[in-house]
Amino acid sequence: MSVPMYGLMAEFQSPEQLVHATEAAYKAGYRRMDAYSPFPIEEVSEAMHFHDDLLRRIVLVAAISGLITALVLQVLGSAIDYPLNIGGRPLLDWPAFIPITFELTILFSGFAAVISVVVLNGLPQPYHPVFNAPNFDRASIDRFFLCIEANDPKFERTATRTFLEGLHPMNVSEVDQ
Amino acid sequence: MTTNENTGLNNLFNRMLTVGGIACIVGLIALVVLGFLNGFADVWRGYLTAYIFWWGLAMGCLAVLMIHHLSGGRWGFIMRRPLEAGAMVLVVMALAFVPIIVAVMTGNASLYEWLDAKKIAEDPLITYKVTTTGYLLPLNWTIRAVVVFALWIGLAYLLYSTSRAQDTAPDGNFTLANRMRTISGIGIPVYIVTMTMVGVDWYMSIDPHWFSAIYGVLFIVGQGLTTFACIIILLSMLTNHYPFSKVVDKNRLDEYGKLMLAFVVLWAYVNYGQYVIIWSGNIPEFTPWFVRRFAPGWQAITVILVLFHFALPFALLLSRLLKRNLRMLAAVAGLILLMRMLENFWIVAPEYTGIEFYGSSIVGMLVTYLAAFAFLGGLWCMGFAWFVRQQPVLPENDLRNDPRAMKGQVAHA
Repeated sequence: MSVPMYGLMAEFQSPEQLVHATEAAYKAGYRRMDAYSPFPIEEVSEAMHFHDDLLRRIVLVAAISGLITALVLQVLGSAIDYPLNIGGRPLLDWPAFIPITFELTILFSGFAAVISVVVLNGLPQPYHPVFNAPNFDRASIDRFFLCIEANDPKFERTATRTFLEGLHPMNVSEVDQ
Repeated sequence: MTTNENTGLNNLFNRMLTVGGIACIVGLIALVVLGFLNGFADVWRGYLTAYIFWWGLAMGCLAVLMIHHLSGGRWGFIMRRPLEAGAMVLVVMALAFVPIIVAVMTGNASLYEWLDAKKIAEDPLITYKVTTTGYLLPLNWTIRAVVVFALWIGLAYLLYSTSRAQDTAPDGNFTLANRMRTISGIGIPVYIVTMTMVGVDWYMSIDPHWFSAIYGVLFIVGQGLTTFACIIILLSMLTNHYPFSKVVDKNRLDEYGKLMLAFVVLWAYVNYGQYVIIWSGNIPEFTPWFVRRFAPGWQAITVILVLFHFALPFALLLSRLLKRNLRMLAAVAGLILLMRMLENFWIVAPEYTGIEFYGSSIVGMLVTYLAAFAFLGGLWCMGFAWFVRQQPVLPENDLRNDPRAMKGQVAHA
């Protein structure tokens, strides 16, 4: 075997089969796996026990930074550095600060979310082994794939293959690294 | 639909009828007694206040139903029948509006100061609005009210009867589904324009000197929020019973929670928008509305609304865990409903009292308003329980949105 293996890919016809297969694989002890489908299926991430709230935390931090930035800028600008009497209003007139505070909170969160999605997904990524699997282009059309990766501690070439075949996929193929 | 499958639901709707009937009778007796004790001015005002809430809920059901027909999705499929029944309650609400029409036609000035002959003669602005232009002449006001009720009930009935026709005929070509979509497409603009007009006619005119362009939007957003809060509470009652136990899952709850969160934010947005525009302008024509609501007594209610109508539900509804737990979600929805009633009170009552809080008569007044809420709420529940039982509780032949019709596909709505 000259090329190392990335994993074993099973191809399914329906999302229910994929959800069922993912649940079975998790129950069998596999952890390093991923599912590929033409549309988001929440049940699959539940079946994989996939919890990742890094993005949420990043966005929350960005939102709070935007909020503080906006308040500090406005307080510095209109109350401390350049105190101007506008219509006899107090210098710290909070109702006027809210629109900017709101906008900067949204702006910072928006930027953080978009940039994090690109960076955390490792994009741009010109090469990924899963595309070596036959038929894989149909993952964005009408087929549902489950890939158990070779670096899973429980991964064992023939045993894993037998396990996947037991889930009644359309086919199981080896994916080159 | 066999009867034994639905006994749980039947019991639930029977209970709704009974509770509604009791609330209605107790409320009516209380209103009459309080009227003779404290005078009927507060009875009329309480009735008009409670009317925003319950009529608004029926209007909200109609609006959300139309949005569902236009947007599709499973969230609306599950709640389509309750929404249709809620929209048909407009028939009951139209009857409940008759006393207000009678009061206006007989010139009951405790409801609207533009009915007071002395003010019509002496106040130049009221003279202009009533005599010169004729906009606030009781007859014109009544004709407009009758026309909008005809439009709303017409829309509700068209959607209700088309939906009923879809139950019995396989709708393979989506003829009926598309017809409901067309009705809704026409209905949404009608709803928005009439709601602005009605906001001005029925509630803004309590103080004929004040005006705000966003006033109708406050009603639209409030009705949407009331409706989603009610949907969630209704769902918490329905979900244990077949067939709802089969189609309600955590993803649906999450969707309702998100929609409710969106309306909480929208409510804060339009209210703050109105506030910041009036505050920036600082012109005597516009400020009285907020001057009254920042006066001692009323100010406490304003602060409660900012905290519990917006801040707390907003913070809670951000949590995904909470939105996926029906009991917690229903608790937040209950808080929002209470706040909706308080907000309706806050919209109307200060217009009558000015900057004075009620002071010593506050208890009598609050009890009167509560009795009006009970009376109209009882009517609402009875109407709803009656209409919701006229059809199967889940729509049949809705091929676009029915999860049972989408074999081989997992939720991605």
